[in-house]
Amino acid sequence: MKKYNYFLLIFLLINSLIGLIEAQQFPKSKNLSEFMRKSKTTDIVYINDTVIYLMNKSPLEVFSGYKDLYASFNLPQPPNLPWMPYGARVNLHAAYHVTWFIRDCMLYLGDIEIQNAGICDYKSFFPNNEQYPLMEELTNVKFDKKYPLPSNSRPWPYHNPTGMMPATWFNDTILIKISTTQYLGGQGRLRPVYCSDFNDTIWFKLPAPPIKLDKWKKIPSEELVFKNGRLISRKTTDIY
Amino acid sequence: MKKLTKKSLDELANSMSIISDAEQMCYNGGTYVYNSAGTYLGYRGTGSDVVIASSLYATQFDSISVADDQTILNVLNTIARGIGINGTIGLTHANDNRFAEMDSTTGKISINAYSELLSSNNYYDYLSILQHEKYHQMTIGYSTTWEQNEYQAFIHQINDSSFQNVSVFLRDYTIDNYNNLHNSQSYY
Repeated sequence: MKKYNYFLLIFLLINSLIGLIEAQQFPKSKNLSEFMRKSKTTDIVYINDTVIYLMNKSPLEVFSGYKDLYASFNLPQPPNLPWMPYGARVNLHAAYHVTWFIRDCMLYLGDIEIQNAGICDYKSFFPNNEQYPLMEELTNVKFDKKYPLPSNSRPWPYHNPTGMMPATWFNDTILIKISTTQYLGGQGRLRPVYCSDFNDTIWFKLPAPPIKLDKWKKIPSEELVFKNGRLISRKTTDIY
Repeated sequence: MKKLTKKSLDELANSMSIISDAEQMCYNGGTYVYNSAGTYLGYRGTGSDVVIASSLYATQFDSISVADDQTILNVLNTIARGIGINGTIGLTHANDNRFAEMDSTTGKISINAYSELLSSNNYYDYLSILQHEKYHQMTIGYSTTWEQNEYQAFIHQINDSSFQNVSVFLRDYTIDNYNNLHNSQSYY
């Protein structure tokens, strides 16, 4: 009997120790998005030229050194944590990100965006659009006028002066989840902003209010499978 | 055919939902009035929107969300001075929907002119976000991680009285960002 009492005492001691350790830890989150935790890129992809999706990895990952492609251009470093609505973008440190497009089941590299520069100030870093030939060197694929960028996906023009680059090197699977913020024509009256890069005044509408978070969290991510840049499978996942 | 009947006020009072003071402020509408130089002209009605006009009761006025950059800057700087922010506010044109940021080397606070924050046209939204960034400015050089500093900035923002009247979307997103930092010390 005494032996069983010892076992019981040891069991209770271990149990209370586990309880004490658990109490010291942060509680498990009820709100986190599994997709956001998995995502390792600030790249975005437009589907049908209009709807913005977040991505879990960049199709450029297959090229070593792609993150430092523009290291010699002294691109501005982003602030540590800008105030950004959850789910709008993946809030990671990156000097630049890529805007991708999926059009007619083909993945295209649409434009190259400086993460922490005003959208009208790219010329001060790339006065001769140096970002595009360097990207062509990296991927060994050309930007092509045959694949024009859409004119209505966002309120300001793209910097890419030619056309998009088909991502023919890409043979992989990515996860995507819709962004909480979409332009989709924006809201309100047009507002004028002089844009030095285009030497012109741009008229644009402000973005519509973000998707309500409760609704957004219930939207599953999707798995896209590509072969030579062509989308061969698209299915809903249980990753939210 | 259903017979239509009138309800007495007492019956209506029992069946209709009760609207809080805060909700009434939103429904009634009201205006913080500034001129284009950013001078605060006064307040009329009840509510929280911000307009640009030549005088407090001018019949011609425009929402700040469609004003030019300089006017927006002037108004934001007046609001920022009112809460003791150091230096001048900047305006960025970032393409990633960030609302605001603070440069940790210069202490400069900037608001993104292309974000939903500006679309909201809500005085308390601007005030609340500026309070958040003010906390970062006040704590430059503190030996905490950026995540910890961000967490504390959200606590500062939520504790400020302006948070009582922010728009629903800003309230939701603030609480969610806060929760994520609270639970996992990250935004994710």
